[in-house]
Amino acid sequence: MGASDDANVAEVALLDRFPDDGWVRARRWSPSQGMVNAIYGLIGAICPGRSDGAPADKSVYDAVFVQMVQTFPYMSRLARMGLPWIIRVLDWSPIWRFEGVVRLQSLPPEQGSAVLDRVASSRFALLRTFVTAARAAVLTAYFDLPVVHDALGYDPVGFMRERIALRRRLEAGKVSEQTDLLQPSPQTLLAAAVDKS
Amino acid sequence: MILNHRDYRADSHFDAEVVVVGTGAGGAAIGAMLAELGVDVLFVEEGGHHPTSSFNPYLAESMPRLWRDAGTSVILGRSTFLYAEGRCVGGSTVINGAMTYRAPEEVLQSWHAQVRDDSLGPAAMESWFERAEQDISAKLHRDIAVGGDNRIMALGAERAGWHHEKNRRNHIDCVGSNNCILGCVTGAKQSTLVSYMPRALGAGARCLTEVRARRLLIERGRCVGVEGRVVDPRTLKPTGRIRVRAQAVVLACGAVQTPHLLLQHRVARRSGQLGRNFVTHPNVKVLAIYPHEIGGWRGLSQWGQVRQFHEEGIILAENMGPSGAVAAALPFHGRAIWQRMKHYNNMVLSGVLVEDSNTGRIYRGPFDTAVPVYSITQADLRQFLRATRLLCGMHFDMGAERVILPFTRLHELTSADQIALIDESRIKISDLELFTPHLMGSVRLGGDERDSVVNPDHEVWDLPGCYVSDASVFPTAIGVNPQVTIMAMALRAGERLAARVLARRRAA
Repeated sequence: MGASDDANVAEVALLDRFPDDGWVRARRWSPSQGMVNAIYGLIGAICPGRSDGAPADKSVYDAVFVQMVQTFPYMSRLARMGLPWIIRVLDWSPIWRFEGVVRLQSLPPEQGSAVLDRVASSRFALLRTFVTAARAAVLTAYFDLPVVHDALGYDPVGFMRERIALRRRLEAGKVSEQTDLLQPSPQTLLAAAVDKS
Repeated sequence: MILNHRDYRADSHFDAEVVVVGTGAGGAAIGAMLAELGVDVLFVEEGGHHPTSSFNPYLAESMPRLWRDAGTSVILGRSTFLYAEGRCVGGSTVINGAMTYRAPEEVLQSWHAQVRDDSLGPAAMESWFERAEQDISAKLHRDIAVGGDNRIMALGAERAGWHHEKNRRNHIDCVGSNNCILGCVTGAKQSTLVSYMPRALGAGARCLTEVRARRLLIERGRCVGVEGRVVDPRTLKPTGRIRVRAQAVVLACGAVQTPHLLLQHRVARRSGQLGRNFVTHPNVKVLAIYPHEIGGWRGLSQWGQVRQFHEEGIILAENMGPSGAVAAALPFHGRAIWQRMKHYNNMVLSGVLVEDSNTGRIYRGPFDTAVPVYSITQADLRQFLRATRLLCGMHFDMGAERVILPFTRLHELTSADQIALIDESRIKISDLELFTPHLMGSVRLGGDERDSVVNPDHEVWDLPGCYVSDASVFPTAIGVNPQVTIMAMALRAGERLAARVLARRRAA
C-alpha cells in the first residue's frame, strides 16, 4: 500500500480477484493431516453432491479447502478456538450418535450428509449451532467459487462491469435509457402474483 | 497521508492535537470536521486502506479484508448470533446498506428529556442531520437502480395495504450494482472512505492504518494519548508499538470495541454504566423462492422499508446478498442446499428488524477480546414470529412457491396454509437465527455522572481529554439504521471539541 496522499485512489473497482492494493494476506492455517481429513469429510457431507448440475469434483473441494484455511486466521479468537473443535466433534458424530464405528470422513458424502441432518435437528442448541457454523464455513467458500456461480447462472462480474459503464455514462452527463432498467418489470411480477379477484 | 505497516519502526511516536481511533461513521465525520476547522488530526485505524479499485464480488476474500473477524464475530446469549462490523478505512460504512434514516423524533425527545441538554432535542439536531445528509449525499434512487426483489417488496406491501417508505441512501448516481456489503464497486455509495476521509486528509489529517489501539495514555488523571500495536499482516500478531500523544483522544471504534478499550481503565466508576445498555436491533432473514426469475442480486440491496408496523417496533425490508452469504444463512446442506440454491435467480431475501426491548453488556474477555452478551426477550420473540408470519403471507400472495424460515425447528413453508405452523411449532428464543449490523449503546451519553459514561460534550465524565464518537453513546436504542445519527452527533461533538482545542492553542 505504502504512503498515499489520497484516500480515494480510483473511482471504480477493477473487479480483480486478489486485487493488488498492497495488502498482505496472512499465512494460511496449516492443520494436521488428521484435521485435513476431517475437513474434507465435512466438505463432502456439506457441499452438494454431483446431482442436478452441482459442481462437485476434486478441484472444487480443494478450492473450498483453500478458501477455508485462508479465511481461518482472520476469524475471531472464539471462532479460531472453536472451529477445529467443532470439526472434530462433527467428524466423530457417527460414533457418539451410535450410528456406526467409522468417522464422518470415512462415510460416503450422502451418508455423512444424513448424519449431519440428524445432528442439526438435535434437541441441544449447542449441537445445532455446531452444524450451523460448519455449514457457514463450507458453503460460504463453495458458493463463492466462479464455477459454482456459472452453474447458478450468477454473473456478478459481468453485471458489475455493465453497471460501472452505466454510471460512467451518467457521470458524463448522458441520460439513462429504457434498456438500462432492470428486469423483471412490475407488470411481470404482478402478473405472477396470486389473483385475489 | 495514509501510512501502513511498512511505514512504521519498531517503536514509533506521533504527536497531534486530536487523535481519532476509528474511521467509520463517527470517527471520520468528527475527524473531517476537526481537520477542516484547522485542528491537527491523526486517525488510528485497525484495518487496512482498501480503495474502491480493490473491491470485488468475492465474499471469501473480501470479508477478511473489510469485515472484523471475517464476519465471524458473535454475540453470546440465549441465542448466540453473528454481528457485522467493518474493519478497514471507512469502517462499517464501507460494508453497510447505505440507509440514512434519522433517529425518530420521539427518540430525540426522549434523549432530550433524559440528558437535559437542549442541543440534543429534535430542533437542535435538525441542522446536524441536514449537514451530515448533505456531506454524504443522502437521497432517493432513480428507477434504473431498482431490481426485481426491490419491486416484489414494494408491490407486496402495496397489495397488503402496508405503508412502504423508499429509503434515502448515501449515494451519487447509484446504479444498483448490489455489492454494498463487500464495498461499492462503482464508487457511488458515499461511505466515509470516499466522503469524509478524503476531506479530512485533504485538510491535512494523517491516518495510521493496520494499528490496533490497545490502551489509553493517562497522566495525572487526564487522557493524553493512545498506545497501539502494529499488526504483522502475515502472522496477524502484534509487533511494533505506536504511541500517539494528543490533547484529546476520540474513541470511535463502535459499540463493542470502544467500551472494550475503556474497560481496562476503570472509568465511569460513579455510574457503573460502562459496557451496559448495549442494544443490537436484531434481525432475522426470511427467504422466498418464486417460480419465475427475480434476479435479486441485480439492483439495490434495499429500496425501501415496510414501515406499517414501525410504531410497534417492527421493520420489514429486502436485502439480497451474494450467493455465498445467502447459502450460509440457509438451514440446509448436501443435496438439499443445492435444491434451493439452484433457484438463486428466483430468490428474494427479506428480513425483519425488531426494536430492542432488552439491553446487553460488553465484557472484557481474555486475550484482549471483547465479549458482547445480549439476549432477546419473549416479547421480542413474539414480534419476530408475528413479523415472519406477515412476510410469509406477503410472499405467498406475490406468488412465492416456498419460504425458508429463520427457525432451527421449522425450516420451510410451501403454501400460505402452512403459516399457522409458525405458531404451532412452539419456537423458542434459542431456535431463532438472528443477525445484526446495528450495534448501539454501551457507553451511554447523559446529563448526570451517576447514570452515564460520557457527558453531553461526548467527554468521559471522569477521564478528561477522552471523547467518544460512535453509536455507543446513544442513550437508548433508536429503532432505525444508525449511520446518519452517528454522523450528526459526531459533527455536533466535533464543533464543540474544535472550539476547545483552538482556544487552547490561542491561549498557548
